[in-house]
Amino acid sequence: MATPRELDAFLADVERRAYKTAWFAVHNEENALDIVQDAMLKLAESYGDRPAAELPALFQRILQNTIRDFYRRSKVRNLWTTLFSALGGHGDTDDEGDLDRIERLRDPNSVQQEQPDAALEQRQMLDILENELAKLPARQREAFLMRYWEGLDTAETAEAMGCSQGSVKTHCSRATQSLAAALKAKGIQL
Amino acid sequence: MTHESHRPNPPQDDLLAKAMASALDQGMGVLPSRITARLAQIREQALAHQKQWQSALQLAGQGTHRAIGSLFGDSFGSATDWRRWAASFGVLALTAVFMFWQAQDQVEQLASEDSALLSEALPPNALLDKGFQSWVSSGTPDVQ
Repeated sequence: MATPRELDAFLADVERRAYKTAWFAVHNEENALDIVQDAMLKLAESYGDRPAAELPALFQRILQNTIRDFYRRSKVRNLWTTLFSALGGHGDTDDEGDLDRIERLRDPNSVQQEQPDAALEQRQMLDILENELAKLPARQREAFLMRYWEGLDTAETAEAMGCSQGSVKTHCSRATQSLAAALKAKGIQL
Repeated sequence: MTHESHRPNPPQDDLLAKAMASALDQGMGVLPSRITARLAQIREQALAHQKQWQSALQLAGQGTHRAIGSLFGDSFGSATDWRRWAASFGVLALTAVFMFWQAQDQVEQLASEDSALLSEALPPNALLDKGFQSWVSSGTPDVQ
């Protein structure tokens, strides 16, 4: 059974990656934070008594399900928005996704000012990588992030995604190849 | 579109993927402070909702199971250890037989005491009395 201290340490360890994982999926800071909040609360409320070793796989599964729930809710919301707009309402929902993306690229906190060249180059490479990750098909991105970023093994990733280990390997391989090709096209070698 | 780029090459894919993951890790340090502060707040909130009550129940359950297990051995609960169950059943059966024998013995002892009391309290002339004999043969005497 995970003690409060173990749960705290686990959440502190995964919170940033969880936020970025959610951000890659929804491209919006507030929505990503809401997703992380939902996932952490679900983990603590429903699985807070599980052994600490089980928490990473459980949390990843909950996080991915929460992201999928967000997609579903967004679809329903967009349907109603489209319907109301078609009935004569003035849709002042200018493309939030694009605005957020531009704002993020201009974020002054995201660039380390002290070492301009190296930091800028690193930041640019990171931006490209993050953008390419965000463009990947959802299942490929999920598999790649869980397997390589969260450090789950193939079996745990397969369990969290609800698919076979073979599918995980295929998703991971395709994601890696797509990312490498995109980086190479922009002159970045890893 | 080249399909060759998707041909799996596990060792190289792993290396590439790990290099990308490492690059992503470096990006974690540059999250805006408003986001890190909100994440810390979310974590606190989640900790406050940790499932505690069920943990306590589970502990109590585990304690009971352990106590029973100490009586029947560590393999209590595994249906495979039938010898322990047979031994327990044998002990219970012996106890029941012993208790039954004790009860029978007690009843016989009480009966002999009653008859002794009756024979001592009865005057010899009473045995010659026909009315008394018919009373004895007609019903069971209720001796207190």
